[in-house]
Amino acid sequence: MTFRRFIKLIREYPYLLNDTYVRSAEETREIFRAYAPTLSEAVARAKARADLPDEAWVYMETLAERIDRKNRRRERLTDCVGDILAQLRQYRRAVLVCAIIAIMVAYFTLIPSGKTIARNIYERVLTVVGRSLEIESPEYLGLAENVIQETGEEPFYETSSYASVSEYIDATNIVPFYIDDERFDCTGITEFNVSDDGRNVWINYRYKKSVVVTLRQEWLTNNESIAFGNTIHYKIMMIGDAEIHYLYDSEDNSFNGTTSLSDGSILHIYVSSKEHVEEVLSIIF
Amino acid sequence: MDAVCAARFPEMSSTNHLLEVYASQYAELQRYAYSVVLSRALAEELVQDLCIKILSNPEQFADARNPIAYYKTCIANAAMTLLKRESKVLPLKHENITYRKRKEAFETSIDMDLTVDLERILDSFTDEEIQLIEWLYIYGYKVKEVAAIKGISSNAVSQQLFRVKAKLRKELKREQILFITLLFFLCHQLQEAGRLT
Repeated sequence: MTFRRFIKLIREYPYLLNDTYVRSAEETREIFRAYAPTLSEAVARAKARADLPDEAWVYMETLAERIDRKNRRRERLTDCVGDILAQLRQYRRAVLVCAIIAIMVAYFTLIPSGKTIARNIYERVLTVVGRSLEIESPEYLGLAENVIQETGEEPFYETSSYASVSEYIDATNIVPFYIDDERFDCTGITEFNVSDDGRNVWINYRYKKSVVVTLRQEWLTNNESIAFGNTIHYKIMMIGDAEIHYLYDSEDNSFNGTTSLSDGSILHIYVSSKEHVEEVLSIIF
Repeated sequence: MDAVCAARFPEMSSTNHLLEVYASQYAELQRYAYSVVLSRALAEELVQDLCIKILSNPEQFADARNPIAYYKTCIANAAMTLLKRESKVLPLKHENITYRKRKEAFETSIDMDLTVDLERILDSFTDEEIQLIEWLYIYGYKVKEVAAIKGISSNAVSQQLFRVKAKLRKELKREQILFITLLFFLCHQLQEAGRLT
């Protein structure tokens, strides 16, 4: 027991201290709550008992009236709020927890410094666990199994290489999107046929000996579509009817563009040199 | 509010302050009066008497450094005087003055989980120390005010208070040592009993 606790006890049970006191603080509070004359009543009784002139009581009476009026107002308010406070007091712990949560939410959503902290935490969490979460998501994990279940076939992955476009067409009977221009030297064609992703063909060209141009045409399986996020990285250009979403790699200034073709396939265009992009695109489209 | 009243009664400014303190602390004074006498009517009378005293003899209160504490002292003194006066007319039983003996009160009112014997600790204090505790923590006087009333320096009062705290600490420590010793003794006895069986 600390000194503070000792004093609290003495205040609560003053009769422990000496014989002047006969009741505990709680008892006196109870008596006062049950009934106690108002100040006006006390003043009126005192006035009746004393032999002081009426003028002496005027100030006290005015004061008493005002105090009583104030107390009555307070009592009315207490009655209204009392029940709510009693409820709150009953569920003190829950109220406290809710208040803390509300304050935290308000801090992280309304106050700029809190917003910054929240954003940092969110980004940090995404950096640390975001990828693994993505990989481990049931959607991805179940994909291969779904393919097996739906098609009844094992997943496959095939790669084929060809020397020219005509050789590719002869072998597959598929006419890919290709550049028919003397200035472009075709250096090779590679086709990937993957059970999950579908077929895609890479045609590599050399333009003016130094510029590498690659066309990658994809035929997506299962009616999949491609969508571009509305991010600041991608820009859009129109060449003829073709809408190309593109960006320049900040490291080597290479051009990476994507567009959809009329047969439903997707065409990716890579140009290694920024200076020749417009020239190359005007030849392609 | 008080400013409004004071504006209406500028000529009473010296007494006004005393009355304002009385009015604002009326509930507290009433509660205090209930704690010093058993009869409710008597308690209400004591508080009314105080109001009459302020109005009829404001000079008595003029030097009061802490009016609320002074009012409480007045009520306590008036209660004791009243009880003594009544006892001359009609002899009071012992329990009328000491309504409850401390031990009885302690046993009936205080939480049972309070293991420290407060009564014994309080018995170890001198009357002067008890009075100091009462003045400081029941009436609400400040150390400086107590020093001024007693006519001693504030340091002396502070030292007295320090001694009270030290004594309390010492008593509590003794309680704890006694409790631990008792606990060890009990454990030892239990062990012995276990060996025997």
